[in-house]
Amino acid sequence: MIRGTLYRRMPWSIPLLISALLVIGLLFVRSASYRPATGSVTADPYKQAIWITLGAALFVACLLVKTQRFADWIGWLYGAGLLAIMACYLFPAVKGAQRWIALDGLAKIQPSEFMKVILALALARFLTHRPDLHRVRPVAGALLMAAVPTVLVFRQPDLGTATLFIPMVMVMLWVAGARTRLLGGLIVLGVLAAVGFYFSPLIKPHQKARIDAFVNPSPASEQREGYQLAESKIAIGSGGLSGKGLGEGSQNFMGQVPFDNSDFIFAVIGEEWGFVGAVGTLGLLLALIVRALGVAAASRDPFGRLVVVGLMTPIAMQTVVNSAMTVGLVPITGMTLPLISYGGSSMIATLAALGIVCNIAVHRPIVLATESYPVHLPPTDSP
Amino acid sequence: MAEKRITVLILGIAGALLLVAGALARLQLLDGEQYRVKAEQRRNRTVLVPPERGRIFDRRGVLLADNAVRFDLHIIPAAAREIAGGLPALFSYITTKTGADRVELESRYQKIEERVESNVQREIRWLERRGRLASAGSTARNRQEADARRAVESRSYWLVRALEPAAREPLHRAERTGLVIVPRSERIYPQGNLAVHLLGHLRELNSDEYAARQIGGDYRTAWARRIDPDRIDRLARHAAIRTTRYGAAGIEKQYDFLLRGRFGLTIRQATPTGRALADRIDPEAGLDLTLTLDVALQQAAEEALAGKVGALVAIDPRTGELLAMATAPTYDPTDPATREQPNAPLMNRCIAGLYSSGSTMKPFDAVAGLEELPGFAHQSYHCNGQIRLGNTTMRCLGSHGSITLGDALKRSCNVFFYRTGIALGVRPSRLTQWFRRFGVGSLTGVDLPGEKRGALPEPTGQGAAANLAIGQTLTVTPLRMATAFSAFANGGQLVTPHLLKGEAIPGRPIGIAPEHLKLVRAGLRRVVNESGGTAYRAFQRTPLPRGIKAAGKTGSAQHSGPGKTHAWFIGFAPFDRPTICVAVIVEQGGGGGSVAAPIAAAIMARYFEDR
Repeated sequence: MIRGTLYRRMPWSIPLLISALLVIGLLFVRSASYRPATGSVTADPYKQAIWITLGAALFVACLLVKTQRFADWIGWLYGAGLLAIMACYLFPAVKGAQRWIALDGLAKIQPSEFMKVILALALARFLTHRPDLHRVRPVAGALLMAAVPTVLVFRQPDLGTATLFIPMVMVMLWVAGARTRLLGGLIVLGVLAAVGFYFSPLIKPHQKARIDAFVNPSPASEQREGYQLAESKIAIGSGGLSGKGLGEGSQNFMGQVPFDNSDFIFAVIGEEWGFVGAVGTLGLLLALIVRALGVAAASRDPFGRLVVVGLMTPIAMQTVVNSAMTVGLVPITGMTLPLISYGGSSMIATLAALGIVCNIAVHRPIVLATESYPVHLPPTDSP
Repeated sequence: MAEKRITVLILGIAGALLLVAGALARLQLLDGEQYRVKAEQRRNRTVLVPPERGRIFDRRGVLLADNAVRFDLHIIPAAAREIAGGLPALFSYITTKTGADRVELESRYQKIEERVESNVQREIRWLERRGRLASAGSTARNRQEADARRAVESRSYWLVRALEPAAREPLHRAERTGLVIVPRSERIYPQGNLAVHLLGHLRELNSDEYAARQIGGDYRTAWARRIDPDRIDRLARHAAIRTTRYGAAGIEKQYDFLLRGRFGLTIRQATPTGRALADRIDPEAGLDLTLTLDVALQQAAEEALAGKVGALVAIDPRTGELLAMATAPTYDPTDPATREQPNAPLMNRCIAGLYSSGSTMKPFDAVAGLEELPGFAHQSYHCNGQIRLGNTTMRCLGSHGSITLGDALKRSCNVFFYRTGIALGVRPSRLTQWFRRFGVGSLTGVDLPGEKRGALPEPTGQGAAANLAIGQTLTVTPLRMATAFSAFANGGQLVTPHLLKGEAIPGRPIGIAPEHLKLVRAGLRRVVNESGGTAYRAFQRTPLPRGIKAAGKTGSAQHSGPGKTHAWFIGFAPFDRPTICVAVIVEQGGGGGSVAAPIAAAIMARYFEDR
């Protein structure tokens, strides 16, 4: 491909929005990593800068590689992803969960984050050019592809990440052309299954307690399970219109907000930058999501379109769920705020995903069809 | 179709984020103020500043109770365990620096660990009571237990009490992790164990006692304008105020509300760079108290009683000011073994020892007879050594022949007063009415906790009336007798004995005709000053300074226990303008004249020596 074409077709607003969000993220990871006991900042913001650098490299790689390659490699990638998730069970539990592959002294890799990207590619490959999507079989096949990592990740346990795979496959099936009624039925079944799960012995006590605390909060549960939410709300609420200023949030610097540089970083933004900063940050994220989905809508390539939709679904969902949980609209789940929360695997995987989105935007449609299937090349694409 | 569905997707995401923005608007714009207040509360840390407890002086300004700063070596278990070499290394270090005994250190640390354990359990139980304890085995429960343990282990516990200044300096400079030197105000009693029953001691109160004293309520009024009431209650219940040592006996307890003072506090606000002072309320020192006690006299009284079992009260009959109050045996508060010794060393016999008054009751019989029986002043009864009432024979000490009031007092003739008691009747007994006027059977109202009332039974027949007249069957405290006798010294007033020096409390007139009082006083003078008086020899042996005459009455009270009679003497001096009244009892001492009177004589002599 000619360099000029890349330059011309590149959706520049995407890297621009990413950069803005990364800057905000770094500022707040730094602010939230201040430890009053020692009067110093932990190493987290510096590590985050390294992850961003690695992520940026992967972004560029994903942008430049031939789109066809993703489709070629996806079988291997899918298998490797599942193996990596299973490999986590070989490592000792951290805070009761086996989510990580620990490279001693270097880093911990969370394969489930990368699985989000892999599954989007795999499902896109599976669902592209399928005229039989109104039948049950391909739908069941796609669901099975998502169910395997869902179950594996759920057992780690990592409820937050596990709940992302199913919405991804549903959205991709829908955009690929599956019947709304069929998917609606599946959602109803899913809700029933979730209710069943709540009453089944499979649910972990802390998960049940969190849901109870959300549905029916009491002073007691506020102390126990709801204290994170209570502190988060105090942080956000006390931020007011314009916030207390970066680094000036008392809830933040006193360590009152739990997981303040990862799951609850949005609470810190709300406290220190107020309503304006919080809504502004959500606005930037929304702009990024809309622009990326715009790439999907504009793409004439069914594979690329599905890939973008698949990649953006977890990003959109994390944005909504993470911000909604800090204000008490949904129960607390371990989901990060894309591009802002501290976390290496999450950061690198998200940047890779956005690299692929840009790749779809700048590259020609690829040939994925069987011989009997006609290939429609967009007329504008031929010079 | 795909484009359309993507558009719907975008609208869905935007809608969801709009909902979040709405929630943000509610939290930050509508309820922002409320959350801002909550956040402010969280950044404030309140530290209580202890007050200086009031000191206690005797009537001449001699210090009886004071405060001293001690420096204790504390250990923070969580931090101490982290240091290189662990606890053994730390103990070796402390041993070399302070000379503390290694074995003692280890056993003390053992106790600290037990305390930590019980505190953790207490925190857990507290959560349980509030219904905040997560179910056993859950992650939340594990976190709660870990949090409780961390909090408890991060507090400091004393390891070595009252470091020597020589040891303090090197320890202070070393600043080992996990070791801190904590200043502590300690109550000290410069006169040692002198008047230990009177002064009392301090200890931590249990929750009932604490509530009963309304110490928390004190703060409600004092801090009302500065801090909200709920918070004051919380501070008063849980913080340093609750675990301070308060007066648990004696003056320390009686006037705790004056002595304890009031905690101050500092509110420090968290800032990104540390904590800054946001508000403070200065502590209020307790009031210094001056007692009516005379240390020299107290000392003499305690020495006079040493080795005996008994009590001595010296009172200024004009005002009720207590000059000395000694009880024996006594104890050493710093040595628990002394508390376990026989004869109840912890009891303050002056106010809680109940005895038959014996013959010391006879002057009160005389007052009743003079007031109630016409011609009693010249009445004579014949004493042949006993009287018979029905089947019982009641004896006298001698055979006094025909005897009148003055001689009857001087010689302590039982028969004369048997007859007087019988003559004053039963149902109603005018004798008990007069005893009651002198306060027998009721509290003196002295400003000490633990005073006992004593008993004044109503006689049911002649025998009982006769027995009551010689001070059997009723019970009194030495303080009651000293107070009642003061009426003979001050012109017939019943004073309120007290230890806190201050404005004079006016006495209450008993209602004795002056000529009757004069007669009784004359009799009491003869007891001490005339050959043949029961206390004559004692006062001959220990004479008062020239020109000072004493008066008094001896008693030898029978009791149900084994051994000799309880020896009593109560008297006052100088006769014309009495300034001191002394009551002495020696349990199982024998005769009042030979055992109790010499002690009283010695105390009076000591008293007048200084004047």
